[in-house]
Amino acid sequence: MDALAITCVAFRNARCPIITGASRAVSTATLIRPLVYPRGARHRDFPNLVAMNASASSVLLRLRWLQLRSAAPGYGVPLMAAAAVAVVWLLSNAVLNDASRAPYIAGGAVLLVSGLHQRRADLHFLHRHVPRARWAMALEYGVLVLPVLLGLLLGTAWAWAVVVLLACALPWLPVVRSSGVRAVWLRKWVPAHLFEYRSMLQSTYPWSLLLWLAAVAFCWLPLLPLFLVGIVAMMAVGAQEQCEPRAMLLAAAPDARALLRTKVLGSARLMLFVLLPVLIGATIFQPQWWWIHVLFGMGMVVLVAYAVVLKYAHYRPNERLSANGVNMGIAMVFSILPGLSLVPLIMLLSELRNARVNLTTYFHAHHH
Amino acid sequence: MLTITDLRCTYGDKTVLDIPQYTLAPGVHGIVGLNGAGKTTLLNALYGFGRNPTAKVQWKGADMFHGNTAFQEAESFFHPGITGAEYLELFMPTSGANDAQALNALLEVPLDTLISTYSTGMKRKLVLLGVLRLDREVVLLDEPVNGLDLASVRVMEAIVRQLAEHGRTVLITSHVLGPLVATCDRIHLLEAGAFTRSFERGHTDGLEEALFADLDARTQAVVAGWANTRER
Repeated sequence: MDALAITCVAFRNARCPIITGASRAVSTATLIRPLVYPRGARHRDFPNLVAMNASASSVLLRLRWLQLRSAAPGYGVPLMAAAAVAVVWLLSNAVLNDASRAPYIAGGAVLLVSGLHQRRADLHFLHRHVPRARWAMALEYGVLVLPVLLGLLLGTAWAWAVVVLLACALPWLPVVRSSGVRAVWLRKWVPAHLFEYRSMLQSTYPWSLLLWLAAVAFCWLPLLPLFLVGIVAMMAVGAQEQCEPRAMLLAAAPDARALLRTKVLGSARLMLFVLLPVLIGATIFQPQWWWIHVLFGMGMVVLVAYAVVLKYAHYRPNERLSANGVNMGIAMVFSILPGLSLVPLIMLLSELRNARVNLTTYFHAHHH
Repeated sequence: MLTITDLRCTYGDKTVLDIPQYTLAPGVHGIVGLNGAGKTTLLNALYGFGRNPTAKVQWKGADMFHGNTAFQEAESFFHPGITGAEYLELFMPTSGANDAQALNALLEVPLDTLISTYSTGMKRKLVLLGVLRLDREVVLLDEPVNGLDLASVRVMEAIVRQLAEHGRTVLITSHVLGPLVATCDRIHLLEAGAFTRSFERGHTDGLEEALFADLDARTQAVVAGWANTRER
């Protein structure tokens, strides 16, 4: 068996997190199949694929390319290329207009990649199965920061461009991996039936807490606290993407109506707990904008409640409802536009019946 | 007494379960059958999923529902990012008397760590603890010994016997006959979605023969043919 095929089999057998974690919307099988038997490939094409050397440092990049081709529609790749060009143009303009922005851009890029590296789920797998794994990751990070690097170079911020290149050295730094439970003290405040938010804390702590603390600390500034606490609300929305198993669903409430009630009201209560300190602080410092703060707060609570209802309208045990992201995106845009925050509320009410009907199929034994 | 009347399950045009009438006395019941016989479908249907609307499943003369039934499914899935203890918090005991978590002294599930770090066996044991914590009158266990080590299998057998002594009815499916023979009052043979025979405790001699007679005959023929081909 050739080297690539061995890698492919290893990836498949190990349920490689590089695939399951990085692109959850697409099943592992869908992603791996093109590696072994590319869609539409003829027998005589196969030697070309075999010619790809799994031990080369570019193996991760080639896997990403295949993942992208498999997951994105035909116009996805040109769109991404256009987005990359736009990023280069925006960043170079930003630096040319104000050179003091360069350190923030360079630092932000390195921090971002550093965060990705520290949290990458496939690290152990790569070290075990991919020859020259560090070089493969370095190359991957290099491509990731390439638009930033080009932007800084075109903006003549040479020194900061070199700093961005530090991202390629990250694979040689030690990874502090905590397999323990995060935010133990904080998750005790979350009721058991709202386990989604405990899960959210596990994946976002301490950043979620830092964002919230920053929102409270900077509540004397206009807009910034709303922006920061808005990100925390988005994290709460994201927590509703993963469906729980059937046993957890049935254990959380005696019937569909009760489940929706406890989940929606519980989520709204948690959101109010998160939002109120920031909004009260912001209103004390900017009293003339009290109505904006009220509308924003209501918008965020409705948004999270809508995320809960949308999840249960499409609930399927153990599945990740990535497709709900489109509806959530629309609701999100409307919830931050003043005067249009009623739209998410209408969306919520229209999905409520669907959620009840869908959940009843899982609780239906109660209605005998 | 658990009574099943007119229970049918179909996948498309294929009928995978067809039980016109069957009665199970209180106690521990094993369900055995080869792959595709309909074991998991049966437990799902008893729990209320995927069955025909005219089916009747009654426990002590009243309709069986989630309120009096607990179900350990064959696949162990969990919401990511939560601990074993947080999972068990969801399963509220109906009475304070049955603290299933106390059994963890024997099962040794690390409840304070993330479920994502558990082995397959630990996950199975955690699900079992959740099911026991519900303290329901009917307990459905689908392949409960899958992934369990020998010690945990013994503990599970003891737990199941204890449940029966406290008047619970337990239905267990398994591909492994040993634990079923050790714990069940009666073992029922499920073939092509229908109960064909049942064996009482202590009289399970013909069980393996009934289960594997057809398979053994086919295996003999195929293996002999394969051996002949190699010799040639």
